[in-house]
Amino acid sequence: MSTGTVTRGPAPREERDRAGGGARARNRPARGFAVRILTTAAYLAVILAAWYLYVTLADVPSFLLPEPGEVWDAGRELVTEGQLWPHLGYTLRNIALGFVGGSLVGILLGWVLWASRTVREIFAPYMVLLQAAPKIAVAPLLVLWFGLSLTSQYALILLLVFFPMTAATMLGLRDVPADVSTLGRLLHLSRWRYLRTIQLPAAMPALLAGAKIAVIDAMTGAFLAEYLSADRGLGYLMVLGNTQNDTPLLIAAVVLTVAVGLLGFGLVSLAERRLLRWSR
Amino acid sequence: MSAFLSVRGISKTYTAANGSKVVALDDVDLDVAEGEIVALIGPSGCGKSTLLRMVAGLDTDFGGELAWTVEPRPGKDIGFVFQEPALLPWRTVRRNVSLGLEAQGDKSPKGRERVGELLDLVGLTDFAGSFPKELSGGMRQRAAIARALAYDPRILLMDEPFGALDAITRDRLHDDLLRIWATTRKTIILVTHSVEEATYLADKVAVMTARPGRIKAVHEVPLDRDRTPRTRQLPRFAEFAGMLRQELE
Repeated sequence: MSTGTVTRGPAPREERDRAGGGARARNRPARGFAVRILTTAAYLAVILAAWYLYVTLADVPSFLLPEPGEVWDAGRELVTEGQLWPHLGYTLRNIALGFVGGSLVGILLGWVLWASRTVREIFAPYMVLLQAAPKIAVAPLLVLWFGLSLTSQYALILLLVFFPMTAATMLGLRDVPADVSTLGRLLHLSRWRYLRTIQLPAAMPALLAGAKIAVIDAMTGAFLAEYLSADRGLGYLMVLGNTQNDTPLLIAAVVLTVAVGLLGFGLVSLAERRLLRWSR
Repeated sequence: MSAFLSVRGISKTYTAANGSKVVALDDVDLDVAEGEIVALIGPSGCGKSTLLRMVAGLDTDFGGELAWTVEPRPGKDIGFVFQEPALLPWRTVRRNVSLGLEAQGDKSPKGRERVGELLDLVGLTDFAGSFPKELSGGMRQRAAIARALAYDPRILLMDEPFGALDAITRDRLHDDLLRIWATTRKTIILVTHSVEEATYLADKVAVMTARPGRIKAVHEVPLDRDRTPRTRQLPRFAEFAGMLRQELE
């Protein structure tokens, strides 16, 4: 028993540290959050001030670069005329469906490529080809094949999303240490249980890193598809602003796009914080 | 003590990368009795870990016979401790320890109780809710031992389980293991390259030689089963350890 007491010696101290850390951790996000809001506000203020000053001092014509107030008005008009939500909702839905669908396809393909050496060797050249080719270049082809429809839009998003997820899955599944996979054999885990209890959690850091890239790619895909072929969505608003020489509307659409991008990235980061609690 | 496992004429030859044949194990015989602690000791490359993996059922490509009085059931009767703790970092200590029970679909209160007892036995009750990252190296290895015992396997196999620990922690874990043995009376096969570790822990020490891997001799440890840190100071302890060291040269 002597060793038990010896080892319990440092234990309470460590525990106190952890408890203290917990209390601090509870305060930290609150303060960190306030600081982050202030920093963001400061950045925005600087951009808006510089923008405003440049437009007024250099006397830039409104059709090239309207002042912030005009863009704000264009944005407000979208809201009051009830145009914002249909367009925004359409784009968000496409991004969400494309991201989820592309991720599932990507993870599945990543698992198959990881599990079978033969499949991996057969598919490797195709994967390199797909990776190297600028996927945006195939967008017109997709429109040609699938028409000006949702299908071509989803095809583009899926094409952009699946690759980073496949790559991340293959990397992540390799992250299981040799001893842990031996343990899986000793415990006689079924393939499915092994995937669920060991492989997927082990691959989670890599999967989330992939998802951060994939969510941005999903947005690029969605905007681009709308730009090319849709009659709805934020991409379409940009086209509308452009063709009608409505620069404030164009810029408002760009600002919304950036906001959507930040939202998507923020959601994945949030998921990362929750799912990778153990690694912090 | 009744016979538990008989290793009979185990041999293994593999082909090295350059095409030459390497004899990893050559005609190895070993008897393990129920409730006994057997140490396998030898230089690196003598095949002691290979032999342990064969007993664990991880390596089935060999000649000879492993005769069990009762054949181990897959996933239930083998407890294995690696040199590294190999805990799952995303699981708390408690959920790591209960991994084996979970794999068997055992959600009984008895299983949960057993996990609690084992955590207590290895002094980790206060850390049941901690993640492995928050533990010291010694505590992680204790958790790994508890995990190997949680589903009540019939034999515990340990592959240099204390090799990665510092000397002080190692000594403590030796006493922990003896305490665990006193409570559970598990049959244990322990691979080690430390003569002191083998002497302190084992009932029986099998000395192996390398290239080809053979068992050179099997010695009964001439010490009482009840061992305390004082045992290390006995002349008989030093004598036996010295004899083992000479055999290894």
